[in-house]
Amino acid sequence: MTSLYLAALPQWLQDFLATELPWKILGAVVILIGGIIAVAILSRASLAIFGERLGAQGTMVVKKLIRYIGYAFAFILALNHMGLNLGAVLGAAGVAGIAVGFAAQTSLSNIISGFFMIGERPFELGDIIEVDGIAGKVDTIGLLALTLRTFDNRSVRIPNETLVKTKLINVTRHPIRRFNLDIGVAYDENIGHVLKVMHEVAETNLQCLNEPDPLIIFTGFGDSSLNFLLGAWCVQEDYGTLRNTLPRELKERFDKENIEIPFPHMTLAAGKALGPIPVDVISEPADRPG
Amino acid sequence: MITSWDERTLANGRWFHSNLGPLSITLLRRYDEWRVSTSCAKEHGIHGDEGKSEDLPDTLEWQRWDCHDDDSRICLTPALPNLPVIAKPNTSLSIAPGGNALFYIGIPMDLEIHGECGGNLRKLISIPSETLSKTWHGDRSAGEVCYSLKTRARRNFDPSEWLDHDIIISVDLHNESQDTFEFERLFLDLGHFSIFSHEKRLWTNACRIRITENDEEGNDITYDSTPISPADSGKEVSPAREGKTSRSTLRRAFASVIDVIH
Repeated sequence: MTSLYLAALPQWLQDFLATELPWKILGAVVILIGGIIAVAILSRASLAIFGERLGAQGTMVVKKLIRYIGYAFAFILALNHMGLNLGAVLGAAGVAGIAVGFAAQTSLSNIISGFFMIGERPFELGDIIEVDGIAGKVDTIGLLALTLRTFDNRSVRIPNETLVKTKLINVTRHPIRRFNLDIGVAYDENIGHVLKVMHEVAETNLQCLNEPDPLIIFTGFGDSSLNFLLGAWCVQEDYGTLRNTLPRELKERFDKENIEIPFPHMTLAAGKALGPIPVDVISEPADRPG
Repeated sequence: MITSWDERTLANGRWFHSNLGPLSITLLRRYDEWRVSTSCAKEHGIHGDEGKSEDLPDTLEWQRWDCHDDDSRICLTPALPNLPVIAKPNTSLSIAPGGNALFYIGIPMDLEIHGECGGNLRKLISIPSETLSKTWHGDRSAGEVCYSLKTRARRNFDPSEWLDHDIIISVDLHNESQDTFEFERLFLDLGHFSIFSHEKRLWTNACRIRITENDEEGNDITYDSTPISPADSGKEVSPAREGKTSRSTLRRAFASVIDVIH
């Protein structure tokens, strides 16, 4: 029956099917498909076991790692099944690997830095971090780099190596945060009264936490003002609102209490003496027409 | 002031108005919609408790919910704030070893408005009568956000001393430790308190806190099923959000009190 079907095929196809090659190709395809399924199972199983410990960042990297290694392994097996001399291929790959290694030093450095980051876990997906003066929300974490979404909705890719080398600030690591507001008042003002007013403003502000106590201190004598620091604690979600409301409420209250926020003062003096600035009249002013 | 927590009806084109402490609340049923407006009690410019929609000032700002043509039932229920509360007495009180002290603490109520939508009552909105400032319970790395409440923590109940929108919680502290207990702050998780109405005032079921030296043993906050006398015959108007319990297993609730001792 089968030979009847085969007889209906073109001669070239009959010759091709008579060889071992189609079965080898079929076997290789089965190995590749089996490999893909095995990688998917392995990836899920390892994530289920280690996912919680590794965090979102580690999970993502491990997932990619398992996928790449698994696919490479399945591909090599498939080639082996096809009868390719793997010794020669791996030998050539070794030589090529050295060449590629030199060329891909930066990439390897990024990958290794990525592993350090997984171990250390200085941030998670969704955290707001500041790297090299760029602040944003961690959008994706990759083998080579992470992507930050800045507050003006730009996407910034930062290589993992930079994260290891540079100072990194995680803004949202802790649930509460302090907003520092520097403010100066005129030298005429009573320091005790200003401190009391600042305390009352912090106390009545809805975002400012009552505990931990707000930090309110007199920081010193400035060029034109008595300087104060108001450090108000708030929960992370309220930080933006607090930044808006606290300075406004403080200004309004200062206005109400007639507490002056001075402009910088500059006294111009000529020479040693603080006398009037000498003015020389060069010529008589001309009579105005009309 | 809201005097009845029973279900009521509001026909199409009619409004209902009430003050809740510093807050003025207006409910309007119009054009297949429930509308709610809140404003400062002194500035609303509304005369009377009920009326036709034409009588309302144009300046009111509304929040709106869709409903069916024949929906007319509304229900107003009092609620406790949705975050735990840290109550701080204006001045601390020392409780000697073996002594006990009963405190009355007033918490500004939230008002929940339920409107009929397709035949069923659905929660439309929860409005705090007073906006409480926030505070942090825990250290700077972990903890939870709470409302902060400065209270006189009264030792006896005098009806004239309480605001209409206060929900009164009675806390009975028993100092069973060997040390004097300084009552400076109290963490109150409000999830297990029901609200009762008694003679136009709102009460929660009473609670007792036992203070011992052993943290593990001292984890003990007991909830009664009814308010303290004279409100013990009060009618329940709002069930406990996290269900009734007679004894809390929340370690933190008691630990926060213990923190004050040490």
